[in-house]
Amino acid sequence: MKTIFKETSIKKYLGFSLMALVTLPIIIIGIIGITISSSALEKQIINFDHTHMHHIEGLVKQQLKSPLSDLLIISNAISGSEEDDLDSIQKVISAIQVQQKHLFRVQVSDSRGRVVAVAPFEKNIIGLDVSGHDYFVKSLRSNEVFWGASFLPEGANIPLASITKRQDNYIVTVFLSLKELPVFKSLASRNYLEGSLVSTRRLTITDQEGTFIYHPDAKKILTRSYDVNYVPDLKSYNGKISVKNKIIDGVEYIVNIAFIPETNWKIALYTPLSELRIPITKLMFLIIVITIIVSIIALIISIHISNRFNDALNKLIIISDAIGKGEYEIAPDEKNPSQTKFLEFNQLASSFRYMSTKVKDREYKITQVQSYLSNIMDSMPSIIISVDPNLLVTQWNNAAEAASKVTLQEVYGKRLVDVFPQIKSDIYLIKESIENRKAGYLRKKFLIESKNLKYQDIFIYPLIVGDLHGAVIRIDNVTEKVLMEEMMVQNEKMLSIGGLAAGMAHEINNPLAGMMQTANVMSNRLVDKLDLPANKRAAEEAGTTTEAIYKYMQSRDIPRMLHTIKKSGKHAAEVVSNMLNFARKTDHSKSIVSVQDLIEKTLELAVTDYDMKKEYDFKQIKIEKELNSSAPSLLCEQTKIQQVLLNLLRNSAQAMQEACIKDPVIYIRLKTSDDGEFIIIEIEDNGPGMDEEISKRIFEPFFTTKGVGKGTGLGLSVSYFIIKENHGGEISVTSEKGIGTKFIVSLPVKGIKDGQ
Amino acid sequence: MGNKCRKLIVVDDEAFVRDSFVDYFEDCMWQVEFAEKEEDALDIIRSKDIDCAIVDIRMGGMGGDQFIREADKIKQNIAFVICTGSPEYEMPDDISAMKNVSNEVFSKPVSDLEKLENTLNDIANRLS
Repeated sequence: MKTIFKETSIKKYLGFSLMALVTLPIIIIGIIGITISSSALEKQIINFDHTHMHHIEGLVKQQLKSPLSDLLIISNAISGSEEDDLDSIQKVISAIQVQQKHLFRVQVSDSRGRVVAVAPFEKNIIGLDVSGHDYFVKSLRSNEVFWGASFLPEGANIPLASITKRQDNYIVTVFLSLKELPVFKSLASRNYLEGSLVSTRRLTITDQEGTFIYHPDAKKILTRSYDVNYVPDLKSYNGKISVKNKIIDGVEYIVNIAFIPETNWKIALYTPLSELRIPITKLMFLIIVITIIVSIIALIISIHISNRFNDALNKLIIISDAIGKGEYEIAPDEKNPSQTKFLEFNQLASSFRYMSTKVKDREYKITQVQSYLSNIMDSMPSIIISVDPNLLVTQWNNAAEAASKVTLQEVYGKRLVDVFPQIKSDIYLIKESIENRKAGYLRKKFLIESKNLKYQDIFIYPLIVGDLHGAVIRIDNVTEKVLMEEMMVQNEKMLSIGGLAAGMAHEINNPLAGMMQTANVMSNRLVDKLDLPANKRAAEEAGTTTEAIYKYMQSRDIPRMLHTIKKSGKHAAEVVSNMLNFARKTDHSKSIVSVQDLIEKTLELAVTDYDMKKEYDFKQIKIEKELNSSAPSLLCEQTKIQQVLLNLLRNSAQAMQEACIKDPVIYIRLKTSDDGEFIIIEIEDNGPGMDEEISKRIFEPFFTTKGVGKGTGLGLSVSYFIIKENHGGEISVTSEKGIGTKFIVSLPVKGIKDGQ
Repeated sequence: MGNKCRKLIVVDDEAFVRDSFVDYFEDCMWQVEFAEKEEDALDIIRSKDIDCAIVDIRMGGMGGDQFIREADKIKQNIAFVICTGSPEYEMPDDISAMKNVSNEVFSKPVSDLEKLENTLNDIANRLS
């Protein structure tokens, strides 16, 4: 189970993590802060507004007291004066009106509605009927102070409000110039809302009829307001400011409304909601800016940190790369100080270094084992090749290199059949072996290598342990072994013939003895020893003389005949004897032999080697012997040496016969080498000879120039084996085409000295 | 050639060979006894004063070697010559150590009977 991670660099990862780590709390705190502070801010603004409203409300109430008291003063003055003393009334109101700037006009009318006095004094107003006016009608009915609606007087652009009160039979009305009230003045002259966080608010005051008596926009003064329809129940009014939400011209406002019960005036504060949110937006902006700044700082810090890490990591990477490349000596030098700022990295680096020494040790051991193993493999005479399941070469020892003339480096990973073609026909064996996981073999595989015959044993061992699959192929050159076996078979044959011959010899020798010995006695009685007493006596008894018998014998050629019998018998006996000596089992071990005798015996044997099939007759060949009689005796296997010499003689005879040499001669020479260490036997003929190509190869097994069926091709190679291996000698040939061939056999004398 | 007339026994199971030896030595004025079987020969040695013996090796009975041992027990100083047709024969050590046995083994056919006679005479002379 492997989880595949998307690869990312530490730098990025660290950067983003740190940024997230730093900015997240800021954002969270920011959001919480905004939610908390926005409601707090809202409250604060509302509170501020309320305070402000109360203040204005107070101011208005306070300042309305002044005209009201003017009115009461006037009323009192009128009630104290005598009836119809209009002059005094006129004086009182004029005096008060002059004192108070906010009093636009003071007017006194009688109960019928006729103006009786006015200040400032205007003649045309006196006598004017005001009975139709609302303030007159209302005041006439009660003694309460009546606040009239505001209005603009004719010919003046000054908003006025009337305060009316009935005093006795008079109706006193005070026209209040709203502009002259200090609060209106200050509202108009300066921004009353200064200090508030919100600047785009506006404050309006409306009278009881909903007419603006104050508006920041002067044009709107004395226009009707439809914004505030709020008319609280006077009885339940508790002085609290009401708050309403209102949309005017598509802008949502929070409207605070204060009510002045005395005059039915309303003070309204319009605050646009968007304005209310400005500080929050500002706060949010601030948070965003802080977040960005902090993020950038975090990024820079993380880059810095990760650079540090990267440096440390790069050092580790350099170390591990070096280990990978097999450079285990990573000494921390000036260029490559492996010391870093971080404890963990240093620990890692030191563990890397430890690992590298361990890896080096292990690699050294592996190399040692490898070279040991390959040494073992290379020192084997066998060809050892290992292949993988696809039959690609993975291992190849020295013997394989020598056999194929290519090195392991050249063949590694290549197809076995391409680099080792001689195995092509047996590749199925390897496949089978790998498939079945069973060892396979092929014995005595016969092949021709540069015209030479060769026998090989091929063994295939499948690799079945561990993860490594494939097979090991071992190829042994068993030519010599096969040759030995052939020889053994040959020897067995010879031995069995020898055994047979021995038995036969006994059976032949006995009748031969009867014949020859009897012939001997006959010869004594008839020819050689006629004067023996027994002969004489027998002659006399037969009526004749030994002399007569002698004459008869001589004339009838009896001595020659007897001689023939003896000679023939002797010949037969010799043939048997020689044949026996050659094949005799008892002669298997080495014995001291006179080489001269040995040659003589061999020649005798050769003479008898007349073979109809082989179509040659040794007797026709002239034998020239040059035998040095002083040549020392030799410790050797007599029959084997005899076999070699006989073989050489036969070959020579056969070759000369085939070439129809007119006067065939074989020279046999026996010499001692100059240093006396070797006995040298030369067998030379005047036969057809052979070219160099053939003479080079005649000792090779199965090499034959003879026709099919005539030779085994083993003769000379066996000879070579006998001389070289069995006796430590040498056998060589020199030949010239058309002139003759000379074989030289040299045998060490040393053996005999050791034997003695 | 010793003039003294010696008594020879020929032990050989091959009649023709035996006869040829007998004939030759009789011609040479030897007193010759002969036997086909080893036991018969031993009887003859017991009953007659035998000086020399020609012994075949491969015979039907105890064989030439054993015969020599037995004969030597019966009478010491008989000159023995072994004459065999078997090419593989090798003299056992105890017999070759005996001074009255010829070191030379004559193989059949014996082409030089005179040499055989001389060898017998030599041993007999040496012993007497």
